[in-house]
Amino acid sequence: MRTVDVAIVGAGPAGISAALATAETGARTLLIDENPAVGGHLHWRISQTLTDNAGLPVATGPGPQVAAELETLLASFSNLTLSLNTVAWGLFEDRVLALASEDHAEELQADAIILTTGSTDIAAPFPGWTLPGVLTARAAQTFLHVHRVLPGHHWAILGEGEDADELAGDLARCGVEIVVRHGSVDNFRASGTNRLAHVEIDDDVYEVDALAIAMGRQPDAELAFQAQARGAFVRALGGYTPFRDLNGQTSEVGVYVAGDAAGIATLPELVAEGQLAGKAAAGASDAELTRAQGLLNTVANRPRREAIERSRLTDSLNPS
Amino acid sequence: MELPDRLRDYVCRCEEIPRSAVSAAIQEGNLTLNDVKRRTRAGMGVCQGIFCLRTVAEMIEAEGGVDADSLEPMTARPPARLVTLGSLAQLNPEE
Repeated sequence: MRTVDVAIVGAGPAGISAALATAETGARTLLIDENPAVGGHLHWRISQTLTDNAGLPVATGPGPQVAAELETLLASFSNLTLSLNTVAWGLFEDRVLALASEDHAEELQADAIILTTGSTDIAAPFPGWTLPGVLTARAAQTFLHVHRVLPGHHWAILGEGEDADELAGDLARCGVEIVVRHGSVDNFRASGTNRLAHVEIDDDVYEVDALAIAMGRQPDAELAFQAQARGAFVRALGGYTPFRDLNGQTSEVGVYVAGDAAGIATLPELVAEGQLAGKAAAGASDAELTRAQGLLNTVANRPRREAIERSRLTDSLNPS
Repeated sequence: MELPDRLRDYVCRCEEIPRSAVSAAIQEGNLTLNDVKRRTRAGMGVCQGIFCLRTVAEMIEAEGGVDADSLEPMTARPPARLVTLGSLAQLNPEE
């Protein structure tokens, strides 16, 4: 079985930040992503600015361009391997990680695992939500920004908040019509014969051919739970999240979680969290960890930090 | 009123489990995510509960009176993503 010092699952901003932090220490680092390029949600950003307080280099430009610059930087480390188009589908005892790509499968063992697996859209069900033409906000953004496909011309957006606003902006730039925006699933239904044709809100009927569910996102830390990490449903963090210590280590020694997977976060916060987890996983000194924790605190979103504090592992649970 | 299939609000779209089935399971006294999963199959499909886990937790809270914050997640089992039997067969070929 192949071994590495640190394996990082998910090459979005948090995972890239974690990988750079571990690679700088000389640790043999493996960064895995199921997509064909690194960058995660940067690919959905028309313009993105990274500032140097976050642990990534300063960069600004279209999201995919920023992602490409980061990929070049990752490639400059001879001790860092990038596995794209690869899914991590299992995390077992003793940090054994199961990987699969189209033509390859393996299990490998890592001294430390960092899960930067991001988030999944929340999709509260309503009548008709499984009709073709209904999609989540992230799916809509992937169609627009990655595949350059317009899934519809007459849209309804269900949900309110940042994700809904961002999608509405993207759609407006595409020149399509946003027929109706609605905040909640109460008295909301979608209908159509073989695909979406109408949304009905109370007694009003709207003709649409696409409906985006933009009700926010939830952490996706399934691999941590597979590895038996303890956790709980924490509303302030977006959903089920593993308990962790100050550096992001879960109740399973050597398994870390950072970024949106540890509770929905802003970009500077998830990048700083990735960097901290990377340093901890690579065995950085206490002084360095204190510095990285301080950096995280300066960019942290207060309510999220407080929710993490409340769900933090106590010292008795975490021997480190 | 019985809704036509295409209008039913499936809580778990992978296994096509309607809200009414989850409600009935909660009324029967299944008040954990794993119990509802075993009783109804909600969470046993290809997405392994990514989408329905939260909805089921909120239904247990609203209809079963159990605080969602105290609910353990469903047992997480591999695979976390779809994998082909062909790639699984490549593992441990010597055994």
